[in-house]
Amino acid sequence: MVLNPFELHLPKTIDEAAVSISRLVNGRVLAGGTFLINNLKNAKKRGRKTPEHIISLKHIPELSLIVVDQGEIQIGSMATLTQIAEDPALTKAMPVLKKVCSGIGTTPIRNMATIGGNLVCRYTWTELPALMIALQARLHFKKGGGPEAVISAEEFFGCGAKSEGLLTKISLPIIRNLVASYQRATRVPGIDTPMLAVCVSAIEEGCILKEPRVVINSAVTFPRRDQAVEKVLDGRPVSERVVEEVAANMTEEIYSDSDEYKRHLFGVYLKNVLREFIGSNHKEGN
Amino acid sequence: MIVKLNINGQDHEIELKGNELLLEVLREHFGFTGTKTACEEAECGACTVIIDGKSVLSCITLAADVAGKKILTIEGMATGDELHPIQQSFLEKGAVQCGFCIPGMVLATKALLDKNPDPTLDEIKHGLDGNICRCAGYPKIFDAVRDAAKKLKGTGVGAGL
Repeated sequence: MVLNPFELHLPKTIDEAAVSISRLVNGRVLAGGTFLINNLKNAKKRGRKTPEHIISLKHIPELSLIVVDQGEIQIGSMATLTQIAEDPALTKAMPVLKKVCSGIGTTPIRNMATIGGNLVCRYTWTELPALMIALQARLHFKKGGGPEAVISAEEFFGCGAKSEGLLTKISLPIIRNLVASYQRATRVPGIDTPMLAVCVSAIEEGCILKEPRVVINSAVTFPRRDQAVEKVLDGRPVSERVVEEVAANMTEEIYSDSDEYKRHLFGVYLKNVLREFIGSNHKEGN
Repeated sequence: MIVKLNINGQDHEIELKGNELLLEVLREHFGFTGTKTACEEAECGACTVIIDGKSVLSCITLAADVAGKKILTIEGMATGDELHPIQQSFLEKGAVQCGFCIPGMVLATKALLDKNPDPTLDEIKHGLDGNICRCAGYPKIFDAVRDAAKKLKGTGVGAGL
């Protein structure tokens, strides 16, 4: 067999899964499988130790629910990228989710990959962390038999801590007049992971952008906001002059762990994203 | 564990180990060798099957995880000796060279056309973006997809199938 032996657990409820995760030593959680199964194959080929237990989340229907209410969106951690991209209520409330999710990987990968897996795997090149930070997402965890713990996406990715417990859902506030845009740089479309990505969100009042979040992803150690750039952008109408000024104030330390050409590309893509707001119609959350 | 799998419209009860991949089970337990073992890294699409209407990569799917779902392999496309219109189009348009990618391409095409019966060329490329052809036979594959779409809409040769 291709994979080393393990005991497969198929919990039917969130509580059952959370207890299994906390109880089982040398266990791993299986979401969509687009990362884990290949990792298990590679570990076996290299003679590395593999988990003795795999806890599959695919049999818990409530983990795949998407709920769009007046003030909040809730996306179950097992919602696939295809599910997110094709949900009409979600697309109406936050079009940027469709734009990003429909461009990750390939069609079968999107049919299998989950938002939860993309977030908690902590690979530097996954795309949803930056988007979740920009959209002020909160991550909901369930540990063992205990109560739910909620952490903002910004804090979760900023601290680099290992996830505790089971990620059950992601909640996003629906903010009036929120606009958002995202661009990724890839060498080859499809299965290639992005070299870098930039996401900008803000509250648009007239032509002024307020409380912007400028989040960068891939090509840096972990997704983060460039607050120096945000400060320049805050409260100003986006024009070509402002775009150039913003790009000239990128925080050098953030990009210093990238190659020089990627640092340059971050500036290019930041300008491209900001230009979308010049005379834009990127309303989210209305 | 005892698992019930529905493959090509037929129910099967089978004893499986938890670590068995769907690709292995299809090929080795059931002899459905039309689903190919190629890259084994979820990049080439040769292992594509359709599960509950969506194209999925069987090389990274645990068999036990798809119990109770409807699995379609390339062997389930034809009805007896009568090829599915998609298969017929692939033959008529010369889309088959070495043939290794074709089962995956055909199933990806079925999943695409079931959802979008009249795709544009860009939509065809997007729908088949998980399937690689090393013979680089893409132009004729895209022709075959368009032809199949016409057939299935009843506007071309073989209408009504």
